[in-house]
Amino acid sequence: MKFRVRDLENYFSQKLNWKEISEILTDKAFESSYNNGVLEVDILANRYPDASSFVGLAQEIAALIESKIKYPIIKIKEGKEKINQFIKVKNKTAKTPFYFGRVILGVKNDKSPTWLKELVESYGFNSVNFIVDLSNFVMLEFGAPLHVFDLDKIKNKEIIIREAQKGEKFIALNNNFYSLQGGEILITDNEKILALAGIIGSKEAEVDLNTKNIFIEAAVFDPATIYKTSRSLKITTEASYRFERMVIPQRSLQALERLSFLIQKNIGGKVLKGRVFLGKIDKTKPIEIDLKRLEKFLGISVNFNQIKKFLSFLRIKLIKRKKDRIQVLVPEDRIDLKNEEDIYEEILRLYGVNNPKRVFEPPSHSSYVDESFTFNYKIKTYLKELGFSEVYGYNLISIKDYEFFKSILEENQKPIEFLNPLSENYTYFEFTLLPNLLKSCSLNQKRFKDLKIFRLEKVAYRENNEIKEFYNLCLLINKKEPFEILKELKTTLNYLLAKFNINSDIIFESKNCEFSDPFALGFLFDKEFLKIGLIKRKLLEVYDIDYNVGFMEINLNELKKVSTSYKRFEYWGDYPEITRDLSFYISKNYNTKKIIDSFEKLKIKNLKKTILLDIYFPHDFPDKKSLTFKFIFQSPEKTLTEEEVEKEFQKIKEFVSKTFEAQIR
Amino acid sequence: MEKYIEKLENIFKQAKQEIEEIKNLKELEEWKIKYLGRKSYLANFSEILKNLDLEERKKVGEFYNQTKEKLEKIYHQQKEKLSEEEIEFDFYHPGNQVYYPTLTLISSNLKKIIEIFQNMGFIIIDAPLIVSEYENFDSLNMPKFHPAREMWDTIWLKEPRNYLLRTHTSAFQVPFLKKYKPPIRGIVPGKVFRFEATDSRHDFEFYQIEGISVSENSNFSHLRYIFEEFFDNYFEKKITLRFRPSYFPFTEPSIEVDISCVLCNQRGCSVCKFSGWLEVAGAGMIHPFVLKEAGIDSKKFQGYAFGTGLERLIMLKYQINDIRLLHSSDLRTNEISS
Repeated sequence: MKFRVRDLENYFSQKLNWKEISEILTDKAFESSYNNGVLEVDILANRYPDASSFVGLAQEIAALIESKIKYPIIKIKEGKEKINQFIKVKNKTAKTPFYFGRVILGVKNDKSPTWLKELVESYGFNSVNFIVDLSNFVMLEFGAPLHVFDLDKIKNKEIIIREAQKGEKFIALNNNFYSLQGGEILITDNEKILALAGIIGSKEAEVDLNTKNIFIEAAVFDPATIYKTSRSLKITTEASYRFERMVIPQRSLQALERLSFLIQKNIGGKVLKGRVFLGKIDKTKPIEIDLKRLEKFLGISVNFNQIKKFLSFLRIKLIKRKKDRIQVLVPEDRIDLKNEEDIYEEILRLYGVNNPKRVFEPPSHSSYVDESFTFNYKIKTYLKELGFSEVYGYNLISIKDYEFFKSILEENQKPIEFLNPLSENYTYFEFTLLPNLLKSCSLNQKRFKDLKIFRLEKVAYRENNEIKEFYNLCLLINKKEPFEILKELKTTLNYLLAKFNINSDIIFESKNCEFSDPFALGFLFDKEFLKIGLIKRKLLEVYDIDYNVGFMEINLNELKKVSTSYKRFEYWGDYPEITRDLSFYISKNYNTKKIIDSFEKLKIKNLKKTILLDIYFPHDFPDKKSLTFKFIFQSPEKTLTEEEVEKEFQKIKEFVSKTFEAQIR
Repeated sequence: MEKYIEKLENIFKQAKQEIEEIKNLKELEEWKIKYLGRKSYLANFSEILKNLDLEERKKVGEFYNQTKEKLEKIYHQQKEKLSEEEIEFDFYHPGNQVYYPTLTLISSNLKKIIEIFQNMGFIIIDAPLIVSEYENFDSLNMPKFHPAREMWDTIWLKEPRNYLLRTHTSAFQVPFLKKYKPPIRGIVPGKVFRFEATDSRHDFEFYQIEGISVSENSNFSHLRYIFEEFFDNYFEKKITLRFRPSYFPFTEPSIEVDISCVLCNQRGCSVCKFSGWLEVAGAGMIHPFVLKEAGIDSKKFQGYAFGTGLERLIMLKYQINDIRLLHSSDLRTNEISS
């Protein structure tokens, strides 16, 4: 909030150095700066009720510079006639805990004098007339909003405070028309809505230059209701802003008195005897403070005299002391001070928040890092070793992305959609990292012949109405040759599996996919954990990508479950290995995995390992594929002879030709 | 007899003279053919020897052998010399053009930060991004319609209702304290989301690092130690701290943490707006309300909590002036990442 320092100076008898004051405020209360007669103060949200006013801020400054303020003059001359003969107020809602008022008869409203006009305008108000401008001035002075009604425009001289019905209509002072949702607080007479309480008045009881008799309202409205109404109708006023942050009833009452006094003094009128006074102001309760705990809590040592001094500057009364325990009473305008810790804060502020010196607290347990961080970082470094770079990506995706990739979600899985999306580009939470990775590919493709990038982030969706959130890894290769891309993805997968000591075979299941062809799902121990494939041409055009893109997306949750950080040592054997390679053509329809598995069942003597070296599809035989295997023979007892190996190798050859009708090359 | 010896001497003299002039291996090979090749005088010397008597043959033969050896020797010497001179290398040669794969600055910096806190005894915990309204607000002393909620503009889920993208890592304070009973100290790093317009300083998602320590003693002086160590280690230089009073509904007392400007060392620059200070974190003593929500006796246990933004630290350290560069998926951003 910006203050003209000349408005604050009225409350001090001494001359102040405002540059210095702004520094003290920053150190001990609120971040502030001073420039050309204006003090800008960032008043903290919990201090808004008491400090966002001339009197409030002056009081805070006085506490920090160990001084006192001159309180504004209030000297009302009350008439003999009683207020209740001129106005009756009925409160029908619990949302108005306090409602105060005064009536002044026979005022001579006028345009504001220059000083007042300038003052309200420099705080962002339009100057309206003397009465309205004075009420805004007093709001600035005490921080409590006031509303002045033209008494003669109130039907039957009766005010009813009630909650709005759904669908009620309201025309505000600014001529805007509002349809109410129900539950808003209304100031009404028997016929009309006079004001949307705490937010804005209507034209119905507006004070103008012809106004003779006035009713001044000072009130406290329920902050949550004002907050809701202000948001739902999209009206924010100085008053609503203050009511939302809570108005202090005592300040409200003081403001009422001050405004009545100023009106009487400046434009005359007869202030009626008595006030409208609805609500009961509770006395503040004493707070008990344990001085030993205070020291332990703040990490400081203070002596009692110092604390006593601080408390008195803060207008906090010390009412009892018993050894290390004291009882204090906070001033009624400091509604933010409710418990012991709040008082600690006050003492710390005055003591200086930079005073507690650094002390090492030895930890009482060992440190560890959540597995996901270590696991994820390992994967990132492994991929870096293979030439992949990590790219940043947002977690949110567009409606378009969703449409292209929604087939990833299964029937019982629903995307995380937002109630208030930032824009149509960020409507869903990612359930696949692919779309944003494709965008990165499009951005980077021009500078790289063979682009290899990845993201490792959380994805989420709802499954049977439960939120699932877990880490995915998605990697992408962008280059010309599709076969090379897929082969490299397989190489990468093998590397990751080896690094995490996953020995078991992956079952691949080729599928039709809306965005990818060829495309397969990968399974480990019957659990799907992988999607791999080439992105379809039409989608590459959508994401503006030249060349081909292959991708692999891995559910790291599933991968982590089967991975181990170490494995058992395997001795390589005492006797030499003898190898045989075998290439053969076979019908395309045979499942490669079944062929690999069938060798194991063959029970070939001394066959240590079977390795699939290559698969390709020969041009000359369009219905065939060519497989190349390497067979490694080794005996644990002796050096094998060529004849022994050849005998076993023949068995394999025969088996392959017979069982799979293979043509050995 | 003498004439043969003289002839051999002359040949050697001439050969030696010539070989000293030779600058490359090709010429040397030509030299070799001339003096030691099949058609050379020496190669055919046996014919001459044949015609000499035994005594002379012995003498001249010996001289011939010596000459041949000497020629071979200077040949090898010269070859060795030339071969060495042949390898020329300009050490300004650029080497091969290779691409260095990189991780994001976020990844590498988060790694470093995790290590710093791990060394100070913190456990490092991963927490969900999608949380309930209770976790994000209510459990932190921010009931519905509390204006303080406006400090954190929220992206809400359509379904389930009352769920949201966490607006701060503090959303894990209560679950953390419920799960890991005090005494405990931990760090919760991760992404948070805000319903916010984007500019050079703000983005709708960014990383926060939340710190929590609850024990019978944890207080402001311990917090100051942790902060000093953290910032010194992260920026790899001596940093001065300044605490300022602040307000958060879930801490009491609350402070704002400034560090001495890492760019100008408080001489004044545009980044610190000539104040010498940079605001980098919020902190405070955990509010008794929060401890109570976590089922902790606030008379027995106390503690501090803090939060800082990862991108802000990275931008200051590497002097990046726009968060959108840090958040672009352009690989050029990564290049300074180690």
